[in-house]
Amino acid sequence: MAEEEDLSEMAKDVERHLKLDPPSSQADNKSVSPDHVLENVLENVLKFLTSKRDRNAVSLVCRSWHRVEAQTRFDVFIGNCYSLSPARLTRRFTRVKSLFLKGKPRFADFNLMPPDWGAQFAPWVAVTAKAYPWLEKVTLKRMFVTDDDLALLAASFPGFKELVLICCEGFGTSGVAVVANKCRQLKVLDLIESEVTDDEVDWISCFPEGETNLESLSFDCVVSPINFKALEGLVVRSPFLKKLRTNRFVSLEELHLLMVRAPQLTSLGTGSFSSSSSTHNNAAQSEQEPDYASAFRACRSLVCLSGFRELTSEYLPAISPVCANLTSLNFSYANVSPDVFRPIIRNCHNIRVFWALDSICDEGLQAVAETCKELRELRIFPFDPSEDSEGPVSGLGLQAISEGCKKLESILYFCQRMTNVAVTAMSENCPELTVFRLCIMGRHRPDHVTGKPMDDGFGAIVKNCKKLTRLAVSGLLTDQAFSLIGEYGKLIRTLSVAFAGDSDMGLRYILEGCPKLEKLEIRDSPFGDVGLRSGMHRYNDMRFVWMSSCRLSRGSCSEIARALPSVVVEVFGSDDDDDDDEEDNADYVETLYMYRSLDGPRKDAPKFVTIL
Amino acid sequence: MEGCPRNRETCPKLLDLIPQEIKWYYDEEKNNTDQEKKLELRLAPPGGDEEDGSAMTKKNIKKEAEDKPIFNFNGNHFPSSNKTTYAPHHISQKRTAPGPVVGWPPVRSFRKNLASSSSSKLGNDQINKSGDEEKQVQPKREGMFVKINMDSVPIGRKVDLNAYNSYEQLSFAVDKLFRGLLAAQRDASGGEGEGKPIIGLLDGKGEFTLTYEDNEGDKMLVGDVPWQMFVSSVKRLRVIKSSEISSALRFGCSKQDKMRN
Repeated sequence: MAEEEDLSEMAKDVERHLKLDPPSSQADNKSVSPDHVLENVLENVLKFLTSKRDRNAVSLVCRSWHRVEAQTRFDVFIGNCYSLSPARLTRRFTRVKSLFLKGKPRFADFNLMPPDWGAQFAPWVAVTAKAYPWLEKVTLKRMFVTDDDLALLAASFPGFKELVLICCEGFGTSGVAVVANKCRQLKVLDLIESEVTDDEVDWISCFPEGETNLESLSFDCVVSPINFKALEGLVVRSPFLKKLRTNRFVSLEELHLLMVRAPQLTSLGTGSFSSSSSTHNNAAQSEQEPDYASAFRACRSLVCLSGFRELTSEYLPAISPVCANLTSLNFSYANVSPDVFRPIIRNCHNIRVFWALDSICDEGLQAVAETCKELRELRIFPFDPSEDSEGPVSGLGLQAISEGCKKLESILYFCQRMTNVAVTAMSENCPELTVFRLCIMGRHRPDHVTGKPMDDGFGAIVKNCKKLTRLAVSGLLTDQAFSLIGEYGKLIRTLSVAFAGDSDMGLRYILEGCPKLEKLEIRDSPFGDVGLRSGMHRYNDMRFVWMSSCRLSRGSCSEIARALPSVVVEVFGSDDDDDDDEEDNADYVETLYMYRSLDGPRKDAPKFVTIL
Repeated sequence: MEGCPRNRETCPKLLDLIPQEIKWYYDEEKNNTDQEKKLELRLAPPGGDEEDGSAMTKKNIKKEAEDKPIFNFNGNHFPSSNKTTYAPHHISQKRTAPGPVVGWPPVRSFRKNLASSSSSKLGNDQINKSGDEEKQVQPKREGMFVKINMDSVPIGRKVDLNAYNSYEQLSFAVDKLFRGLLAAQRDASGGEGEGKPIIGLLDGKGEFTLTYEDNEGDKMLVGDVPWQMFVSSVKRLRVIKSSEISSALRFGCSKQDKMRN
């Protein structure tokens, strides 16, 4: 069907070009026709090419291919919003339907970046509003988005279908209300881990009357109550709704009502998962508790469960009917003990993605290892994220997982103590690992059994996990660890380092050894100017480098800025309010954030940021 | 480097909570660096130092050649932090309070308050929803709100039991809450104004009687047990017609009954 249309389109194009000069042609017109036929063929072929790496390669073949590729790229991904200006985007790509923009670097999530640093969506929405009236989808991660931006978005794109805001901030429920109300084609409204201020607007009621096109609605990060009746009404008139992630202001009774109305759901964010006497209970007259288990049973397509924000354990068994079908389970807000957890997880044979708190303990992880043979991604978050807490999970849990879940591809594991043996075991048992992020919360903490640094464990990971592309290290690490990373981590694209290493050699090993490194984030490590300089040959090919609380001086950062004009070097610190020390501190760099850019330094940098 | 005093009096000191003998990879002179580390509890075999000590001397020498880490007190842009910063020419003498480091462990802020807000505790119905960055919409810890319904009045209300010290006060509050509503229900044709006071809730002599459901699901007359015991076990209140007392109490379901259904 599509192919036939394309062929007839092509035929029409050929005809047209033989008779008329193509209006968009800039090349000389004489020998244009065969080239244009070729271009049209190419265009129709490239429409099927979706991988951005492939497209980037295609665009480098020749000018003609570059042009055609640009015309057929409908999905644009921009990993750093400051790597190019909005104008450049719209000049090159003219038919964009979907835009994915990433703003701040990841360490901004942990208060290492001052607020008002930047990454504003405003210039992007202003420019794309004019250039891409058919824009359908916008995904933003770590961007600063205002209510006005959302209003402009809602007003500018009549066919707008999908809005996904991940780790964003700057807007509130009023902005959300405008989107809900004005985007009549809206299919997806996903607010994920974003800060949404409570403007006391009943945004749920702002969805228009009548049937909606909603397929996905996620608002679990919205920390304000919602109008439940309106939500219920919305669900009833959204027959295509497949994903619904409610926030903690939705009680178990209310969840039950929603589930009864939408048994077709595939993904459910369960809200508080506790029964509250203050909720508006429709069944006020009857004192009977709703049958939660049967509501779950009725959701035959449910494969993804999350929420459990204020879990009351006695109700947890209600999810049992869906456990066998679950592929994704997120308990990361639920303080479940191993005893409560084990009977549940025993039924979850098909789980591929599992997030939880460390309150499930090593025993809970053991149960996961015994049952979840299809596990691909595991994330264990700390219930008590301090350095001195008890630490219910350890190398035992890690090793158990490695032995039971051989297909594991991605792991994020917070713990208080770890052993090289356990990490090595994982490296040997899980050859499919592409992401290994271990956070030993005690800084500089060695192997708690041998007292040695964690070099061997991480060394084993880079040696044995041949597909590793993302690595985060922690614990006591010497330069030796970095030497191993440089030697074996040939596919690593993202590396996170904190409180590790001995000297500049550590940084040198990485920069000289890891050819695919794109994103490097380092904090509180003794890497200085020598190390930084050793990466001169790499920075043009990297997306960004972040170094905070290291041993960098302004002089060497300026050197980099001079030597590499297409790299923007930002430095900012925290002592700018203390005049006495300004002279002494003038040379010290608290935070270095540098990134490649096609359009030079940004104009919107705040005062505390110096661009060298 | 030169400007950095090695003299302990001028450099900031923190409390030594762990005796000096337990040293790890740093020697005596590195104390300023290690104040932070000494505050950490360590788990390791006692002889663990020696081997590492020798392996680490090279590291120590390197460290000595470089600068002493200085504590920084951060100003406006960041919350106060306790970072050890290794600065070539940094001579800051400012002191930080011992404590958590900014952004460490690397957990996003909305994951941080799980320990303070009680999540799943078996049988814990008292939901504590406090969290620094989250608005408190549920009743504050001091208030104890329970739902109260009245026969023939469709709108339920809520009362804060912590605001009262006796059954009489509660009874009075119930009257205030429902008097108008009841009058409105009964007298659609207008007329009597405020309505009759609702009295006799506790002694069975009034038109209405106050009952409650406790945490085991049993329905009881209000007033039989000491006030505090009542407050600790009440889950919801109901004002029923006195003529219906016996039937209401007899047919009340317990939680066990509900589970079976």
